[in-house]
Amino acid sequence: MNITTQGHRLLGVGIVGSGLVTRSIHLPALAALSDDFAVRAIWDVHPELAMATAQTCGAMAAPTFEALVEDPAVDVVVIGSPAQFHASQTIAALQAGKRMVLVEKPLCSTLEEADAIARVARETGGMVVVGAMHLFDPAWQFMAEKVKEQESAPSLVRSCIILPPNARFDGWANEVIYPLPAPAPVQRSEAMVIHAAIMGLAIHDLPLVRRLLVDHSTPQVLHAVRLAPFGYLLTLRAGEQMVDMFAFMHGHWRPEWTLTATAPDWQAHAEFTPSFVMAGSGQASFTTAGQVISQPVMARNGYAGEWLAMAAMLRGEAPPPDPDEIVQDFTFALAIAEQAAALIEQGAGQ
Amino acid sequence: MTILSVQADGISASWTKALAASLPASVRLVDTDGDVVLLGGQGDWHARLLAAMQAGQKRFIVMDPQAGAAGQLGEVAAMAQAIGAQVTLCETHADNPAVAPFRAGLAGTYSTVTITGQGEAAIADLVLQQLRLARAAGFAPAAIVHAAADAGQAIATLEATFGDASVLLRLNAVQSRAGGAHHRLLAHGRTESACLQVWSDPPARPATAFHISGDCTTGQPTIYESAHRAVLRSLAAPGGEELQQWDHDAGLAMAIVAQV
Repeated sequence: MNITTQGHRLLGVGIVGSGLVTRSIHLPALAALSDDFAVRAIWDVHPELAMATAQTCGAMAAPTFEALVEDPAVDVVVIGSPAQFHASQTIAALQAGKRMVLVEKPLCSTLEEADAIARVARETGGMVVVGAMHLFDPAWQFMAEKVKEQESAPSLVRSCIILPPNARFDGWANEVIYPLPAPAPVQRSEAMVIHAAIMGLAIHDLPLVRRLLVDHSTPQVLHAVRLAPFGYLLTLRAGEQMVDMFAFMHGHWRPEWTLTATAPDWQAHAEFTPSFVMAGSGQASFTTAGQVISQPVMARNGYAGEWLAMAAMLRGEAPPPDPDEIVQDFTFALAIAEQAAALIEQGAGQ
Repeated sequence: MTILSVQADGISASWTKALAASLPASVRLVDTDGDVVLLGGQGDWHARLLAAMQAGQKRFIVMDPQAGAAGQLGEVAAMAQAIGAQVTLCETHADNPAVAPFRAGLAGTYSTVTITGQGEAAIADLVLQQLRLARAAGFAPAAIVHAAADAGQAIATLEATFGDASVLLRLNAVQSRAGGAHHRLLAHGRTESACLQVWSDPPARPATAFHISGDCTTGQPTIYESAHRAVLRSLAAPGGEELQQWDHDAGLAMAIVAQV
């Protein structure tokens, strides 16, 4: 057992999956938090990639998924595999007695899987955190705090995600240590594409959007458009509130990732960095008729924030996550994706 | 140099005096018989314009015409043509002097244009300001694809054209007193984008405009000039087409806000 400089026991981390998220996000974030965490084991369906990744952080390459979740040196399991494996792997880690599972978004693929994860979390006492990093970003936390102080709710919420292709960031975020062949192209219908765009891209902001709505249940998707080459336009209504969701992935350099909540008397706004890059937190502002209060970029971003939150939960310094909350976030996102896909299927979109 | 005499109708006297005082070489404010009538665009501006033409006035600048006149300009246009009157529309956002160079700098292929904006104006007028800004920037609104609106906010998707190309125009307007009222246009393409943010307040506060290509951004120089001053200076030649286009756009705005 390792003891940190703060007198804590070092928390062991086991990571499932050695892709870009692991190498660009979690390993650098954990390396910066070496007083709290140590990566103990990595498993991937490509053993050579797992081995190469493990060597970069002093961890062991687990021979199997089962070996990783049964490793007593592992306290926290990160599920960084494709979404179709999230539920079974999360449940297996909880049933193996792991105290904490960080599962990348989306939580899983179906409502039944989400309910099963929450049920097993309650049965085992294990904690499940979804890697919705913006929820842990100081920019969102500033924005959420200011919104909570207001008497009025936002009448309009806008999520805007404008991004260059991920390849623009790969080279800055990490280095190729074991090249893998590119995945074969997948043929998808228009409805499947918008569903995937919502569960893969909009999902970053949907937990935040949900928390800005008075009625946290599912809003109605009034209009959906799939944008080429990749993106969407969504018009949502939740009671008297409306939500405008826009995403566009282009070929040039300039990103713009914002979340804005506007009420008749105030406006809260956050600007986030693209995923993968370690460029500090987002920045946020709260504006009234005559005043702007802003929070600048902080050194620690949402990735660091989620790891620090987990450390606090594991040490009993913060309340555990509510399993119902992660199910509600997932239900909210899935319902929007399914409504949008249905509209596209019916030809109501474009 | 000939100084243009200007009389105001339905516009705050202090605002008109300040505007005229800032253009001492071009404009002289008079109470009656001005060369040009500055007509406030609020409320029943179309009726006041008609009455002024019937009274013999022939040159008008309508300042920020509001959407309520949608569909009621037929008689105005007919009378203007019959008596040879010139009617110029002056719109804070669409006529901002930054818009023309922004439009001239659009060199890409754009598939989607978004305009987000806020202010204290009625929601129909916020939407109309966005439609007019889109048109002035080169993206002509054609038809509504979908719209949803309340008294305080509107989201609309429209078909539009950029030259011969089709683009999707997305509007998002919300009533709010927070911060500075403004509209922000972003044109999105595969390899180029462009951004134009125009403020709604009367002072000559410069717009922000830039064009983005593969690996660089070109910023547009600041222009410390308001739409109102610019129009008074140029008194650009008007035409019936402008009124028809305005009426078309105002009709779209009223249709959008009717989608409760």
